[in-house]
Amino acid sequence: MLSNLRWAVLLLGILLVAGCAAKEAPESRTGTPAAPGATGEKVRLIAFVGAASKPPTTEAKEAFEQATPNIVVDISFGGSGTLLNQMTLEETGDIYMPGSNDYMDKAEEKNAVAVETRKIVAYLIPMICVQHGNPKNIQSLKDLARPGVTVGLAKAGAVCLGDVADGVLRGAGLEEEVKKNVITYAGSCDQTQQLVQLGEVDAVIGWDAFKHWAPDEIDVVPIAREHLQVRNIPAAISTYAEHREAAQQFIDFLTSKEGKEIFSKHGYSVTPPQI
Amino acid sequence: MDTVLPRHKSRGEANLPGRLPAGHMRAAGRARGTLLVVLLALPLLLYLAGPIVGLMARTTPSVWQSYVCCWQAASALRLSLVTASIALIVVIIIGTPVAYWLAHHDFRGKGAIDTLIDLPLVLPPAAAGFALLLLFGKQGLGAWLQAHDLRISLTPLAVVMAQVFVASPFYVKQARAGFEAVPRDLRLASATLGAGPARTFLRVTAPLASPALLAGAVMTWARALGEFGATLVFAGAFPGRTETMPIAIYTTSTTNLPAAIALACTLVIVSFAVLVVTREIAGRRLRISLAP
Repeated sequence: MLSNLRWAVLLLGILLVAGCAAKEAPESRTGTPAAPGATGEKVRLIAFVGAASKPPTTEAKEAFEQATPNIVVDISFGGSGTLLNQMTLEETGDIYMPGSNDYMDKAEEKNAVAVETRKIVAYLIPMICVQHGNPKNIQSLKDLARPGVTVGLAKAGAVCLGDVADGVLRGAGLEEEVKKNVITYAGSCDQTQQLVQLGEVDAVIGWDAFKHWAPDEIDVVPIAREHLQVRNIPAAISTYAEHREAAQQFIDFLTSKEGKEIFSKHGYSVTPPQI
Repeated sequence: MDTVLPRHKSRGEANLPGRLPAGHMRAAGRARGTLLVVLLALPLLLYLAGPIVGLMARTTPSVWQSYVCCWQAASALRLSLVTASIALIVVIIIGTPVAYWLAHHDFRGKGAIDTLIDLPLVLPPAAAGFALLLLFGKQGLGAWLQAHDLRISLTPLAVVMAQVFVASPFYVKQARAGFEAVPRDLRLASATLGAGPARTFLRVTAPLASPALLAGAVMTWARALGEFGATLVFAGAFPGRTETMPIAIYTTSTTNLPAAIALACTLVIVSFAVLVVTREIAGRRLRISLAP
C-alpha cells in the first residue's frame, strides 16, 4: 500500500524533471542571453513598472538590451501602489515607472525616487470610450448625461483615472447629471476599460490608449480641449538604486526617439496635447 | 445488496394486469432516485462548468496561437508547474509531522494550533503576501539574510514560500483526518510485534492513510498552482523568474483581455488534465492496494 506514496513521489519527480528539462526559453525574442547567472559581468537592473505599460516596456527592454548588451533589465509588473510598497519595504529596485504621475508624486513624498531623475515617458489623455460602432451615438460629455445611457467611471480617490474623470466632468459642469447614469465604479484603469470592452456599460471615461488595447471592441470620442486634464507615465531612478548609471541609460532610452516610437506604436501619446 | 436476484414471487409481488414485475418496479424506483440525485447535483455542476465553458468559448485559435505559444506564456506555465510541485514536496515534508501530531496527541493549546493551521484559508492572499514580505523582507529577517547572501523576497524562492503558506492547510487537514481514521489497535499491534514508531508509521499508519494523504496532496498542488495574491506581493511579477501563470494572466489582462483569456484557458486545461490523470492513476493504485 505504501506504493501509493511512492507513486505520488514519482509523479512529482516526473513533473519537476519535465519542468526543469523543458527547453530553456530565451530571455527575449531578440536573442539576449537568458538565465540568471549566465550573464557574467552584466549589470542587472530591477525596474518596477505599472502593469498597463507591460507591452511597450517589454518591447523597449528587449530593444535596450540588444543595444546595450552589458545591461539586463528585470521588470516586475503590477499595480503602481503595490510596486511602490514592495520597493520601499524592500529598499530595492533601480527604476520606478508607475501607471501615472500621481504615484510618482507619492514616491517622491516617501523619498523613494530621486526627484531630479524624473522624466515623462508618455502622456495619458482622457477620452470617452464607447462600444465599437458607437451604438448610442455619444459625441460629447453632454451625451453621457442622456437618459438611457449607462456609464462606468474609475473610482475617484483610488484610481488616478477616477480623479481625472471627476475633474473633467466638474470642469464641464456635468458631474451631477452624468453621475446619475453611472452604474458602476471600477477599481483600476484596466477594469474601467474592460467595463466597456465587455459591454457592461455604454461608455466610460478612459485613457486614449484603451482604443489600442481593444481596437475591435472600443471606439474613442475626444473630449473638448477646454475640459481636458492630462496625466503622464513618468519614470525615475529609485533612491535604493545600486546601478544609477545603467538605470539612467534605460530611462534615457525610454524617452529617446526609439523609445517614444515603441510607446507610440502601442497607442500611447508621446507628445503633450495642445490645450 | 444492490443486485436483485430472481426469486419466488410473493402474493404482493404477483404480476397484475397493467403493472410491471416487482423487479422492474424496483429498478425503475432506483432509476428515479438516481435521476433525482443528478437533478439536485446539476445546479452546482452547471455553475462550476459554465464560467469555464464561457472562458473557452471566448478564445479563438488565432488568439491562442499568437499569445500562448510565446515564450513568456511557456515560461510562466513551466514556473507554475515546477514551483507548485516543489511547494507540494515541502508541504508534505513539513506538514506530515504536524498532521500526525495533531491526530494522535491531545494537549493544551491544540485548538489554537488547529486554528493557526486554518488561518491561511481565511487570510486574504494579498495580506498573506505582505505578512511574508514584512517577515522575510528587508524590514524583517531579510536584512540579516541578505547580509549572508540569501535573498528571499522578489525571488523564485518567494514564489514557493507563498504557495506553501496558502496551500499547506489543504494537506495538513486531510492528512490529519487520514491519520485519525487509522485504528489505534493496529498501531498497537504493530508495536507489540516489535516494530518501532518509524516502522509502524511507514508500514501501517501511512499506507492506511494514503487515500487521505493523496487527496490532500492533490488539493495542495492545485491550490499552489492557482496561487496569485500572496505570490504577487511577496515575489513580484518578474517574467521568467517569478511571473507564474496566474500572475501572467493578471498582468496581461490589463492591456490585452483576449490574450489573458487564452492564458487562463491554457492553465485550466493543463491543471484539469493533471488532476484527472492523477486521480485516475491514484484511484487505480488505491483500488488495487486496498483489494482483499
